[in-house]
Amino acid sequence: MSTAEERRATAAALTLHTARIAELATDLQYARQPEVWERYGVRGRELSVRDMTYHLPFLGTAIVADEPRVFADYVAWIRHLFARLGFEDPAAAVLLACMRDAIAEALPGGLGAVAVPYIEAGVAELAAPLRRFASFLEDDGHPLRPLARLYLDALLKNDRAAARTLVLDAVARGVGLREVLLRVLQDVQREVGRLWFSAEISVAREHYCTAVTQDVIAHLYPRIMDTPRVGRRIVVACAAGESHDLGARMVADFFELAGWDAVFLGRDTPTAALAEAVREHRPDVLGVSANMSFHFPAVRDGIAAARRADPTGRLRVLVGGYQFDATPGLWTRTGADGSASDADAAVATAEALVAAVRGQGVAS
Amino acid sequence: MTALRRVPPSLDAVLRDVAFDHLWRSSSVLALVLDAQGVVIDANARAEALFDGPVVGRRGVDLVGVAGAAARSTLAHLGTRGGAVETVRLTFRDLGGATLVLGEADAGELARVERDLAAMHADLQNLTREVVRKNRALARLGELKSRFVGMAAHDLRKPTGVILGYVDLVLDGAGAALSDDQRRLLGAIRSSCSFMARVIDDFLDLAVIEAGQLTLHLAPSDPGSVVRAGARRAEEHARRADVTVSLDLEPGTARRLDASKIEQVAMNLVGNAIEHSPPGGRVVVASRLEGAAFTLTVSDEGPGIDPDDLARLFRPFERGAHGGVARVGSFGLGLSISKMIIDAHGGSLDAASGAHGGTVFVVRLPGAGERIA
Repeated sequence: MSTAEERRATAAALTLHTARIAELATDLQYARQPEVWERYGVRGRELSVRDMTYHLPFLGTAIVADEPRVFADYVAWIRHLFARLGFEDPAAAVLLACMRDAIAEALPGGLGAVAVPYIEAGVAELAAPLRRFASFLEDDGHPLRPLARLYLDALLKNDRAAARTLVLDAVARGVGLREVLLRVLQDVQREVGRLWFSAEISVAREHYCTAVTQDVIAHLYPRIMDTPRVGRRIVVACAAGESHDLGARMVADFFELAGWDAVFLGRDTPTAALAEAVREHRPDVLGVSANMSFHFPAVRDGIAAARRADPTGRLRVLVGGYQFDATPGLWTRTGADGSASDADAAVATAEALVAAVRGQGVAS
Repeated sequence: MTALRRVPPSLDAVLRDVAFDHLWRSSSVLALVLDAQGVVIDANARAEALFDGPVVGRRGVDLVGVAGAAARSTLAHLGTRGGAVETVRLTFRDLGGATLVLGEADAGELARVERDLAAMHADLQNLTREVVRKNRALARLGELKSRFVGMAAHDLRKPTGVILGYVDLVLDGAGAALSDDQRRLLGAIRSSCSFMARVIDDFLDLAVIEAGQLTLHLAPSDPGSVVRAGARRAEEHARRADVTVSLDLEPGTARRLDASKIEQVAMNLVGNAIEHSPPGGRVVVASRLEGAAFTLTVSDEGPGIDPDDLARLFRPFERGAHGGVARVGSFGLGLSISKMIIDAHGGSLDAASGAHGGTVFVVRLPGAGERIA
């Protein structure tokens, strides 16, 4: 078992030596499986080195958070990617072995051994049955499911006017805003993410769908913001480097629906800006969002800075995003007070946290 | 033709066939073959899909907008069947007596632009969210302000009434016991207190109207008589200001209106005209029937209103807008309250100034069932 200090040092060394590890690991791959890799030529090797630099931050997060599952989840995704590219599982297994050996060679003072259990979690994932990434719009009997499917169809047909009309008409007919936001817009955006991940739609199409959904939500703002105020405030932001902001914005909107004053700072919020927002707005709760697990250090650093900016000790912090859903318990390593898997749960968790602060009578 | 490198000679021919087949049937690259006169003699599936109607037989320059020369390369903006304009880089290759035109979009550039547009769209939506959020916060603050003003005015009204009552009592009851100085001082107290009472009434009116609680007590009344009563209430003001008020009121036809509110409007407009008239000046109050509509004009001989100030004349707390002269102690509420009252009657209140001074306020009240825009 490694200590927290050793894990931090290993993650830091991984970041420092990423380029060298990537080169070493790729050399090993080519040496061990020339029949797989040589055919891709010089350009193929360049891409292999680049991909290795993508893999390492996920391993780093797994190590620093002491969550082997973070890396296993990533390997599950790599398996799908390799299957799509026509590689067999042995190629992924060799890749992980090369990564392990390159790390052992590149990291000083036996730090490479610290990484081994986390890489082994990835190896174990390769032996497990292939994970199935099910559609988010499978029929679950919910009355809004057909509307969600129609909305997605309209998005995939480039028909943004029809998509907007579908949602706005439903709201005008009296369908609840929360239900529409959660069961139509949120579920469809998750499905759009899955379709992109499965290479069924292009990046441009994913951006288009997201933009239309943002536009639809903007049309709902006058209703969303019309709730009587409850005198509480939240600041919501995406962690530094995180560019996917729709989920976080929906969380902010849910707080508005619940009567909170919800300030949304947008995507890619630098740590300093997060702290400044806490000083300026003095929120009851700070919400930090990050989807990819390699943003974990940014989330942790942002929360630490925000806490330093709150001399009252009353600030409560929530985290959310795909990585925290995929790895239960990961949030506890961020310094946050809680985590929520969707916007509705975020409001409930925040209200419980704030009620607890008031109940404890934390000195202000 | 240059031999393809790397591929064994045995594969060369089949590779060319497959590559050509892909280019002709399913590639996103546009391909046209032009004869020596520049007429299309063959085209790939992409070209057929891109342009409106058959491609073979048309002039290449009509399709791609530029006439080609061998080895030339240029950007072209192509209007497509779907209405979108696609930018492609055209390359012209000499086939010996014919020309191959290839057109290819820069996928890398498109991806970069698309990514940046998506980011800007997201930022714009975030700004929209902030604007809506702040507008709501401002609206809530506005409601709070109206409530505060209403409560403060309500609480001030009673003591003001008490002061006025006791001053009247002393002035009327003490009679000859008062010295001239005491009478003058008590008169000043009374005058200031009356002004304060009017300001408080304006605040209360404004608070009620802004809270959406203005209730009209409509009953059939002759607007001309109501205006006359309002103008009379300004007589003392006119006398002190040495201004003559002339009434030229045609008998109107009775219509449903809130007589006390319209009287208040008349008093406000006449009082405002007196205030901006020079000593010895004249204020003309005239009414006419224009069809079923009742029109009231109040004209003064004051300095007039700058055109830039006309737009904000009826906004609350725009002090000193009229004539550019700040009126110390006035909140400029009379005109905005008057406009709100006339609006509530479905009428209109406007103001105009001549190039050489003088201002006219025009009130129009609709006949039964009419509404004046």
